[in-house]
Amino acid sequence: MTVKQIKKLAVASYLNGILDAKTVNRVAKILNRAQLKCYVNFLKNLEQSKVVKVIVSSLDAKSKLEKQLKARFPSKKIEFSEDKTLIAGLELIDGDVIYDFNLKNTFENLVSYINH
Amino acid sequence: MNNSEDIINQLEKKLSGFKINGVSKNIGTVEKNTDGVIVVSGLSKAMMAELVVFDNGAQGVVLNLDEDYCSIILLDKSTDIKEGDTVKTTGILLSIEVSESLIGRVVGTLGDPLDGKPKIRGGKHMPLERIAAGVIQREPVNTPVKTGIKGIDTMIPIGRGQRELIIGDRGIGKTAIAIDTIINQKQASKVKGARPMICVYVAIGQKQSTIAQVVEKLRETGAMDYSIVVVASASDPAALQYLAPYAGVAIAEYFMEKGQDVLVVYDDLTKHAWAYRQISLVLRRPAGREAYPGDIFYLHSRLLERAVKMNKANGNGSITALPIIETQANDISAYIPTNVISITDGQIFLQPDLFYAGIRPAIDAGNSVSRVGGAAQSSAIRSVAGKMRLELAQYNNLAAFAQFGSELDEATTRQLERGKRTNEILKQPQYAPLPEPLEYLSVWLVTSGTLDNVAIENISRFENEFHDYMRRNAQKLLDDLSTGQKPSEETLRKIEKSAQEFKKGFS
Repeated sequence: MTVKQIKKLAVASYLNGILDAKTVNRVAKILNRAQLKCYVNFLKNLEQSKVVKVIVSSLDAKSKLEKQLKARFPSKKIEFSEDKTLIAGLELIDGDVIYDFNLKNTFENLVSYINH
Repeated sequence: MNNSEDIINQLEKKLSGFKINGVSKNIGTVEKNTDGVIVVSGLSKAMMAELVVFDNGAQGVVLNLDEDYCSIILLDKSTDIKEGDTVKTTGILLSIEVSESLIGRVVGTLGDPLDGKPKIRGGKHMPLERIAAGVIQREPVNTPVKTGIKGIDTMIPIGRGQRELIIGDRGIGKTAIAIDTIINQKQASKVKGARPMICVYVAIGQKQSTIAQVVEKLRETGAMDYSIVVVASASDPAALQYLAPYAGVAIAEYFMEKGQDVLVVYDDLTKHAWAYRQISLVLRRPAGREAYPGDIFYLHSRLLERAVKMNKANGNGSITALPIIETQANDISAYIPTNVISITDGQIFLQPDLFYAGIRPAIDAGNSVSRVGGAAQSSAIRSVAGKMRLELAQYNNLAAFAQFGSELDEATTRQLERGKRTNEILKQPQYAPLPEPLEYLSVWLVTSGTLDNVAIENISRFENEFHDYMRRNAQKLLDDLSTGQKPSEETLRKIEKSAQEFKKGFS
């Protein structure tokens, strides 16, 4: 089975946008170890693409932020977590793209600018 | 304003430039690490030839973009990259920092110093991969590159902006020709009205000891004052060996953009092709003839096409390329040699037979050619070179027949004797390039028949002593010849007179 076929199986494992446990079990039975690993990776990627992770320096303004992000990413689930090291602002992870809107990143940029 | 205020102001300016909407980064996950080639999932926004950074700070370049995966070649010797590590894009295409302070330095492919001196900072970032200058920006080759080697300057002249291949078996003087050319730029630049050349020597896949010898020779002769050495030795990863010539030409382009003339030596492109073959096989690209990938021709053509002579409107700079190719058992019809021969504007073909017969440089005049350099040859050299080449060709024809016959007519014997003397005069020791006036005198000595009654074993001594004699007694004449103009009748008479006077005293 080729990687492309495994990818098709992963996409077909979703029923109305929800991962179907029955289909997954049926697919998992026919795959060998390497193929299963590839299948799991594709499922993970597909899951990741449905979620936007938001890391904030403080959860105080969560509700306001959630409303804004829901409007921005209507079809995606928003997951919040806290990281004090960001100092201020937030970090947004959407699939394989990270958006940095925080003071920690600004300082890091400044340090790299000084170093160069 | 004092210095600290200056720095703070600069930082404040930079701070104000930071946008509130932050920075976006693209990340991926390492799936596989095969001999320095990393397969990564994610990185959906990565560009070809983009620089990426791994968790441990190691850098890599994107070389393959597939639907779900990217293949990245590592740019250092990191071995601790493992499955699951994170990779980040940088948004920067692979480039090298170049400034005037690079002159006299020995650097790696990415500009890291290898000579124990500090890192070069604050230069201009020159991209390693770049589309060559177009037709409109160029002009024909019209200025010579003086190599200081009689055989080349007279028979296979090289022009600024030309690509002249040096090809031959191992150990028969390919690098020596390139190094002599670099060394000769010191005296060539002293001639009134001559434009100095910056030289870039790119060592690809060579032994560190060989590179050290070359650098030492350049330093000893004072050639490092206008040279840059880019090193990707045999112990460096194949990725760095593959990128080294592009780094060399990127450095050359920096100086060329400033209107300067640059000479780049790629030593050698055979090892470069081997490095690229290794990378391509690990990347699982389809293998073709001799297991080289399909784009092996493009690998060299896009590199050598960056050799250019810009027109006045575009700065009038130039990049002359001297690629070197090592043949196996003198076979110039192999895959890589034929590719590079067809890309370049001529080749200097070195023959092992000539080399072991003591004719050094061992240039095979019959198979060597310069397709565009003739236009750049000075009138003085052109006035004697044509006759010499003809005589040499006649000698080579006759010499083959003469070995069968015992009795030869007088004319044939004369031609054979002249040919032997021509071959003798073209011999030249290594690291001893000659200025153009002395090259002219040497060739004139043989074509005018002055050497016809000098014993062959004395020719080299005659030539050297005549050069000394002329330096002592006829400096004005040498100055006249250095203009490159065809010598007048009167000048020729003076040369004739000086030669006869010298000959009387020669024993």
